[in-house]
Amino acid sequence: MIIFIIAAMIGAVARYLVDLYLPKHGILLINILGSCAAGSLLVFTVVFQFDEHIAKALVGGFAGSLTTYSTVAVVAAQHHHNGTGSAWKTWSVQVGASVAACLSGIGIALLLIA
Amino acid sequence: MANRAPKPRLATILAVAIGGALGATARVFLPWPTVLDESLTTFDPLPLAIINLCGAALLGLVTGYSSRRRWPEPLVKGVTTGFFGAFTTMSALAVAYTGLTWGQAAYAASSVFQGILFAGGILAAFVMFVFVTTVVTLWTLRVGVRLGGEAP
Repeated sequence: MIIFIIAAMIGAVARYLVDLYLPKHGILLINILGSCAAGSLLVFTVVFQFDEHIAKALVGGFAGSLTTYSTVAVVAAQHHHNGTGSAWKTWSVQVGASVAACLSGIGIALLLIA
Repeated sequence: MANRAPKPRLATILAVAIGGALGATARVFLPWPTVLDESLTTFDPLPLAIINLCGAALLGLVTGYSSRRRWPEPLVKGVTTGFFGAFTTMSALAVAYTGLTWGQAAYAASSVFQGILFAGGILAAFVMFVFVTTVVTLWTLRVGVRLGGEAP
């Protein structure tokens, strides 16, 4: 549990700092990195049979806290509310890039193992 | 004159860390309802949908309300970026989408047409979920702004 909490704290603070220094594309970057990490970590935990607590801390705690869905939802809603951008474009880029990054992460992990 | 890089405050970083730990713990350890077998819960879309929808709706409400109030920065960032940011997750969504599509392609599809149909169905469900999230978040954001009253 302690490992999980520390991993979640690191993920959340990393997201906050990246968003602070890269206010325009920070969340997109962090969602891409986090999804790629989640895909890779998932493969590693299955192949190398990591301890359940370690796997939960890495995938659920770190990668889960690093990425965010609610911030994207609020940004998309604000774009629509203020007329400053397209909500659909925001979602397409964020979800599309995250799924592609997750697939890439799985592919990279499989290549490293092979 | 060049813009100076923003400096994070220690109190804000601590608040984000505490909020992040609470949000992630609530996401992973609370007994959310599931639809898949225990061994497949990583790809289970039901708890993920409930968590992400509730988190987005509540973040919309808090963001709208706090935009009209003078709250201390550590409190705002601790609740919004820390708690709700870590409570909801994009990586699990990406893993679930990949896992569900991969699973259908590997086991259920007996033809190319069936495979496309399954993948299209999953994609349509995700698009519908994103649409519902946007509508609900937009509504809660407006409610939050209204509840917050006049800007200070």
